Amino acid sequence: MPEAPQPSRKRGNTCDQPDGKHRLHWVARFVDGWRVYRKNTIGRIGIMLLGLFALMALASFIPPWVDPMYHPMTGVDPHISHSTGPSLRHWLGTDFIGRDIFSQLLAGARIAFMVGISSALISIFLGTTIGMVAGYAGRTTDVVLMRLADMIMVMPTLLVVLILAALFGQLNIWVIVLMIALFRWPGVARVIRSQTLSLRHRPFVEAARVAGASHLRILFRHILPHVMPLALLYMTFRVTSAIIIEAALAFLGFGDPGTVSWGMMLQWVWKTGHMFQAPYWLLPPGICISLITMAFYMTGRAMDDVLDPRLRSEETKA
Amino acid sequence: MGLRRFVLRRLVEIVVIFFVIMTVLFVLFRLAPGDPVARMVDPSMTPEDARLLMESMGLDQPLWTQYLYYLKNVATGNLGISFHYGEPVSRILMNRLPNTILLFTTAIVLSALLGVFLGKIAAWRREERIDTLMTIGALFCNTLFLPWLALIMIWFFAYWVGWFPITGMISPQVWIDPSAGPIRKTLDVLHHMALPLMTLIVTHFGSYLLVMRSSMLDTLKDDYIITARAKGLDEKTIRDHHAAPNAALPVVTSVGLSLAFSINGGALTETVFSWPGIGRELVFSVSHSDYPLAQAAFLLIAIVVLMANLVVDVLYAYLDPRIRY
Amino acid sequence: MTPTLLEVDNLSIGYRTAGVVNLAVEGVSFRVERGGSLGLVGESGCGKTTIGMALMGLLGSNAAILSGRILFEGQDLLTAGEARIRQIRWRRISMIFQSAMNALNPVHRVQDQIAEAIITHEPHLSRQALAARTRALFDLVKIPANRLQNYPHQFSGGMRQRVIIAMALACNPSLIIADEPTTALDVIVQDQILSAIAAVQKEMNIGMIFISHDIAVVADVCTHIGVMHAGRLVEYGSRQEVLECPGHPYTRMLLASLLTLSDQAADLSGVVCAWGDNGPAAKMGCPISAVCADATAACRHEPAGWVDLSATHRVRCLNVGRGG
Repeated sequence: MPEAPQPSRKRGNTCDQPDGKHRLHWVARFVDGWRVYRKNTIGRIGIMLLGLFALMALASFIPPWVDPMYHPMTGVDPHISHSTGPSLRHWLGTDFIGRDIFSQLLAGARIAFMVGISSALISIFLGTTIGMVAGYAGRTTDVVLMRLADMIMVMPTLLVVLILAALFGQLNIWVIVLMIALFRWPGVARVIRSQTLSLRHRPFVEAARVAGASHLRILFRHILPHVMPLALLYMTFRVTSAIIIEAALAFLGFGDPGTVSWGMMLQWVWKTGHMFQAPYWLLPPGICISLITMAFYMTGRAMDDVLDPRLRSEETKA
Repeated sequence: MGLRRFVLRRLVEIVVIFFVIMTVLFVLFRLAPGDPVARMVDPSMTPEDARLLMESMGLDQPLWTQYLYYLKNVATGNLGISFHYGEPVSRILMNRLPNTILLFTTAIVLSALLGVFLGKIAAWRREERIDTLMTIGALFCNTLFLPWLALIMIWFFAYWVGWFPITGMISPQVWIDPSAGPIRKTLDVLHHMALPLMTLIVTHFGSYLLVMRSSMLDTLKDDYIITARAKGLDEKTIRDHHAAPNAALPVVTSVGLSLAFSINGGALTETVFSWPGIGRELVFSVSHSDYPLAQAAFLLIAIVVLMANLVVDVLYAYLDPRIRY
Repeated sequence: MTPTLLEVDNLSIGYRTAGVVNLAVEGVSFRVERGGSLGLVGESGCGKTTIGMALMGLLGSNAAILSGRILFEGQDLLTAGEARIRQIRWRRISMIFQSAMNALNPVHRVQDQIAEAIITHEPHLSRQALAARTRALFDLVKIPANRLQNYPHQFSGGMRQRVIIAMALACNPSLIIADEPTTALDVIVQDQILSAIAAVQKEMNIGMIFISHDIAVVADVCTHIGVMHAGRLVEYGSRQEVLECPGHPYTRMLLASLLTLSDQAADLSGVVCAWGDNGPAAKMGCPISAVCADATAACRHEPAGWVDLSATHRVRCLNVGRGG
């Protein structure tokens, strides 16, 4: 990575420097942030839990490989055709048609991550772009966009997706992901917008404008890097709400019938009338949903502690 | 002065938003794959009834006229006949609405009060064990998955210890009995309401507690707390009479902001406990492709959410004298 | 002979921060008589507000009283129990706060806030008596009675300060501590408020401690003046003595910073004082040695003790009394 011959400027913002220095600064910030994060107890617990679930997600590929009867959706134990308790063959027992619950749980972790992260990424992308545009353009665009955001925020996401499910039939998991993202971007957008508003009149933006940079370039080259940490922070909260909404949808019977999510497992336990007799089936999915929510929340909170004072110090430096 | 204008302005906003929602719904219902007519008219109806219905809803007219019919129908409450119940949709929903209002309002109010009460104590005894306990407890309850908690509640309280009924809002035998007075009937409803109410409260009070706690911590830095202490008041009076009323205001805002989340929870609770409200009706109608009912239920829920937002805003304006005067 | 209303004896207060104790007030002593008024002057951070808070027992939890006594009507407030302090608060010693914006609770009506002060100490008053009292207080500070039911934010800054004054008088205290009561107000209102305070004080024979950074304000109202710097009382005397014949270089600097009508700093170089010229001051005891024009080596190394210029006027300066 060639480094331009610039005077070493430790202070001041990174955006006016050429790409080489810019990326280096980012990495340095990340490493610093990680050091601070590590000391935070809540963050440590959060990361550990997330690691545990990530392991589960990865491990979900193992059981069907070991024996097709362990496949979460289609694997049926030839000797068992009803719900049984934990045993050596089936660590958490079987569901009402003899499928292994433990492998379902592992598969659920995979689905949770997939749904959570992709939905969060989409809504962060949407929210950041809209927030930046609103904050930067100001005037009518801002008002219109924020009104739109307000309207979407008022609506209960779950019920809206329900209605869409009614109209468009059984939903595919990716459609669900997209729809959740479409209703979760306003929260991010608002925060990004106020951050952009405060950045808009900073000297470095004025300088870029004077230098002839187009609006698009200003937005994505100069404002975005400042706004990114905030966006990433809010991503953790988007993940939790996406996971919960998908779980609720699956619970009500509107999930993707081809995917095994924890919500789906709860739906089966409920609808097949096993909730009273099968605690080994009822408890694990719910515990997992709660734990993963807590894990992402803790991680987000710890990130908040790391990022906030740095954001503030960034403000005073620039 | 300010209050009346404020309410009027918000009402106008609500009407506009509802209008947008109505229109979007209209468009969606027409855009979705399948025959839009079959969505509104039950295919199993007799041809005469079907034709009458189509005329009243303008389904044989061009799109723009249909829209006008639609507006008129929503305004007059003529939203079609439910496929499943065979009754006018509006009648069914009006029947269900009070049940939802009862459960939902009680749950929100009680959760808020509980959150304010506990948050006040947590902030006052900051950093002590009771504070840590309450904060962790609040965070834990926040992350509980509502349907799962509902199932656990039923399993434990209704099935295992048998204190409460498993589902429903009323016990038919009580209500059919001619000698049962209003008190008995009310108690019966309360008996059935206990579990859904508890589920909603447990999942909601946590966030209110945390908001109250941080709001109190901010309030305690204000100068009028020093004034109160200088006046010779005892600590409890300062906490409850001076700090808490100020700190509780952001909680009201927080209730408003989380209304969407609360309505989600309300619908889930109604479904699991078979509480006959509009949330459950929505879920039910969607799973049974009862389009007229689904559409109407959704519109009604939208109105409820918007009105709830308005109520919260007005409440805030009323409670904060800086806005009222 | 009745005991002095308030006597502070060698008071030292420190603040604990991160394991270290920072001295905020060091060895301060003064007294206030019934009906008299003491003005505590100094720049921000000199400790005058800390003294005010200590008198009311309102110091934060990180503050520590390191030495001294506060004798109020003969009783040492520092050793009195919490219950006794609460009894004394407002009933015998009350406070007029600075930022009246926040000193009143925004969600309570002003009448209720004043009534609360009264009822806490006189719980057996009837509602009519309470209402009459609050109305009388408003008359005293010249606020129309129809404003009683208003909320604090409905008042202008000056009116709010009057409300604070009315509240401070609610229980007929013997001593009022006014902490920068006019700092947040414009000069015209400031003048009105000062007159109001002076009038009330004279009429009700209340002792007063007036804390301010503005020596001009204090000069207007107080019978005695105490000058504070860096936690220490460097000069203390009657108003006439301190103003006409400032002994301590810091006092001189404060007075010199007053702007005259010609918008130039007042020239005090020609002030001839019967007790001697402006002497230098010592370090390690004299914090102004760095800026004092006449500081000698002795000033920089030796602590300055109190030198009595008269029975009522004393100065903390090594070089006072020399010459003349």
